[in-house]
Amino acid sequence: MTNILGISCYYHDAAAALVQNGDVVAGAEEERFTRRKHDSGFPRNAIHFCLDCTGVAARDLDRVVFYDKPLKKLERALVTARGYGDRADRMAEWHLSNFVHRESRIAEDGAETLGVAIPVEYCEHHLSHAASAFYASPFERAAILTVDGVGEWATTGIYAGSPAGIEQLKEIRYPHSLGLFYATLTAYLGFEVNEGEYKVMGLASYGKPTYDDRVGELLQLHEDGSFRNNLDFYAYMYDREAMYTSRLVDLLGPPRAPNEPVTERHRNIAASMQKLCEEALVRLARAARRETGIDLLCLAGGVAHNVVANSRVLNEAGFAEIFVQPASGDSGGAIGAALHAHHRVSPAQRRPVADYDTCIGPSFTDTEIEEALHRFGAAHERLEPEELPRRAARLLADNFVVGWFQGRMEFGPRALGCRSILANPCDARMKDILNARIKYREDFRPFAPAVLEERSADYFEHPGKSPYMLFCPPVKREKRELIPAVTHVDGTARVQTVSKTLNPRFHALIAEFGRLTGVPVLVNTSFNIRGEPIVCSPTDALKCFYGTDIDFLAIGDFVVGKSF
Amino acid sequence: MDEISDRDERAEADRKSAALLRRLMELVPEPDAAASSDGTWTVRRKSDFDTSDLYGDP
Repeated sequence: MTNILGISCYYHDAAAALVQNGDVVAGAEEERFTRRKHDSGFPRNAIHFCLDCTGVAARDLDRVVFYDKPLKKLERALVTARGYGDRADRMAEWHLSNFVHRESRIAEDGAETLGVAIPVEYCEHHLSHAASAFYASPFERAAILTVDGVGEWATTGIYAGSPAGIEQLKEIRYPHSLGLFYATLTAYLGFEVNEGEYKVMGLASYGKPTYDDRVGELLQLHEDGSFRNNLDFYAYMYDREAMYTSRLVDLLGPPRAPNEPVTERHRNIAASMQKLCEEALVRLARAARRETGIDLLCLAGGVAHNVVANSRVLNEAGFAEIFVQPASGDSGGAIGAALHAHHRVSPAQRRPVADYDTCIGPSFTDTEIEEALHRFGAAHERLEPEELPRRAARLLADNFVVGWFQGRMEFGPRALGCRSILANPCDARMKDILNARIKYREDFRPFAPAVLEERSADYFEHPGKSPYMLFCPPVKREKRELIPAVTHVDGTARVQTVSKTLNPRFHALIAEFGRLTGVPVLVNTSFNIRGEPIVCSPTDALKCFYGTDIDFLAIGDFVVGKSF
Repeated sequence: MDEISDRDERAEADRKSAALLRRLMELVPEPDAAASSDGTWTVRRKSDFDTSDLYGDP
């Protein structure tokens, strides 16, 4: 029995994950416990959860693995700062302080949290991403592509995965970065970096890429898949506050302030940068295909959350199948670091994963749930287990919005039917209702559909499964009017296919909704409100339920109403 | 009076910190423009994958 604890922290989205004999058995982001979105602090709560949930004692951990190499990262920061002289002093100071006070103390923080000193290893950032995708994939061999802002030096990596392990072939190094290109324009458009990239992707569908030429000056794509950022437009190399220079403002016009109305110009810039990002990712994927000669692809790194680009890669890069790690951002690095350490020690045990399960977080017993219900004085009814999906489906068919809290919490940014808010996709008003009364978010952001896996082909032009909402195929033309609440302005949808194997209760709910309405599809959005992490515990769920206009809550075997 | 003294102490600490940083930066090598600034692929060495050392081999 081997127990390896993976950790990511001190940048954004801290997390911990436990790998036992090569299987990811527990994991969670720290933000879910502290209730601070993107919490980057040492993941004490997540570590304790991993141990408590599996019954593994801290002394039985074989090793702890951190998801990047702090000294290499510091080297990159200082060498880069050296090239920019006095302008970069504050940047260098910050990195030095971060290293001295936080990242060099991983072993001490670990020992303090665990109560015992366990050997700590450090896995390169992009190798952590690569491992998080390949070792969770159903493939024996695969090309692996990792793309994000930056790790130590690498911003992009191509690897080959085989039964022997992962071999790195090529990388693109900082400051040239597709992730930082996207982040810079996200900041220019008035959205928060590492948070607003999704919003820009949604906004892009409303615009036309009329800024192609100008945005193209920021990022030059090469035939071999590599790219080059024109550093005249960027300031992230030497300034922690500003991502871009006045040259970018000269090129594109005044930046948008965070609360300023979104105009056609903003939409068109978003469309242009999204198009360039897609083109870059397709070229990188083709390069990975050429380099490895393998037609199966694993994808990870923050840019792999760009579901529109993922769909283009699937359609245009020549791969038969693609597996995208559902937690492709830095939190998933905790999973990858632990998996890499396991397979480095025990390569013979590697077995492809048929149905990777992201539901590795906390779960709660009906007794714990009932205690919380009493504490809140919640009007509730306990149902027989098989009755609960039927009741919830009826409520959804009657156009009520239902909070759905079931089983173990998902790891990663998407709610996949364990901590979800659900609604009827057939009602065209539902998107506005959810945006205005429950999620309190921008009206241009689309909602995703969850569909029975076996009925997906009837509604979406997507080959095969999409269990983690990581692709954005067109909704079949004849179905668009049938499910307007989940059909984006460009006719696409970020679809989740739901199988009996991975989530039987959610599958039963959608099947029953399909029986009642003829449409085996639901709106599935994460159980949280703007600016807060997805709910973790029954208490979090009840706070969100009573703080919004969610009509009913299906939590464990209980249905909670506001006016029973 | 205490406020002024605190401010002076902070300013002195900032000066020392800036001087230390300047000395440290003199030890940092100049960026190797040819190695990392052209945005094209860099082929990696096998030894770079070692995870058993503490922080890697900068």
